[in-house]
Amino acid sequence: MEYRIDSAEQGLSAYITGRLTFNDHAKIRSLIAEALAGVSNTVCFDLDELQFIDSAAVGMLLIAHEELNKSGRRLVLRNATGQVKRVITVAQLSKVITVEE
Amino acid sequence: MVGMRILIADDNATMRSMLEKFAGRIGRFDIDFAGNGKEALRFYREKHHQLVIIDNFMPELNGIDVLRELRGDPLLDNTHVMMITGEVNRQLVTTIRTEFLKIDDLIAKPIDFEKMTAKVTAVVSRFNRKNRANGPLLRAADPVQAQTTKDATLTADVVDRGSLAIIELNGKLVNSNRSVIAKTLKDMQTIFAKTIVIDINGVDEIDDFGCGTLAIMSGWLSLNEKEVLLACDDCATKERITSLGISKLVPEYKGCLDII
Repeated sequence: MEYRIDSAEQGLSAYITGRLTFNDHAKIRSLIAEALAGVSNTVCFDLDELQFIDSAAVGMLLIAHEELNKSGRRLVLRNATGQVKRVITVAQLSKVITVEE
Repeated sequence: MVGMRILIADDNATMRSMLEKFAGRIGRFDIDFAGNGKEALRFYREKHHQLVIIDNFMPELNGIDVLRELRGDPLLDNTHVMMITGEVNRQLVTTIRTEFLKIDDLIAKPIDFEKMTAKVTAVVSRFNRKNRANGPLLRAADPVQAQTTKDATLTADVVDRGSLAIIELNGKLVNSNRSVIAKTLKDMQTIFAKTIVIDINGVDEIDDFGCGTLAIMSGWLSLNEKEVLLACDDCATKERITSLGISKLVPEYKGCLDII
């Protein structure tokens, strides 16, 4: 998994690419830390180019939501497609995290 | 293997027989039968059964009197008591509460056996967990439906009892135990029950993978029109589960003094 961060007026966007699995725990932690260091209240994970997530990745998204929420920030998952979209739907993450098309 | 002991106390022989058949459909137990309160008291003091199903209206001593006699017995803490009564009224409930009688479930007649099955299955599940070293009792009683997957640090038992199934996880719900969960997910596809309790009271460690797995497991079951509940009343990881929002995804299964 790789990510690129883009800070704009409307919020911070993290473009996540590749495969997000248990092995990417440290990278997600790093991404969360960068988001917490920023001033944006809304942090958007753009998943358009993310091809695959596993169970651990679902847990990581919940952890990211929790960490950001604790500091008064909101996590938005955006543009998920294919397998990523299916897993997010099955796990019903929209009950906890804002999910946008 | 340690067998679970049940005491059935009822002055009505037909009811005793009905309850025996009911228990037989759930598993294999060591059952004692008492026809009155005095007999029930004597049997309990001899064997300290893990489950007592007692009718309130009996000759010699009624059910409430038996529980009054047993009040203060420390071994009663390890016993689940179900009291069957013709009428559940305010006076009875008040007596139980104000006198601190050890009655876990009040069961009104006519008995709703579906709900009672769920209750007894949960009691058996707790008993099995305590006697893990000797193997789960239900598995021995029902080798087709109940399956156990063993790994170094996680066990997953799937017990399907028709109306209710329990997925009982014990140990470390972490990525290194992925193969155990994979098999459990496969087993889940054959669950017939409409209501499924994911019991994580025995989970002492959970990581990203574990949290994600709970979300996916419950979501997948919901999509298959199952009612999914999470049992974590004395769970070591409850705080983690709650803070991550898992409790928003899966309603909590609450075991308390229920009138069924």
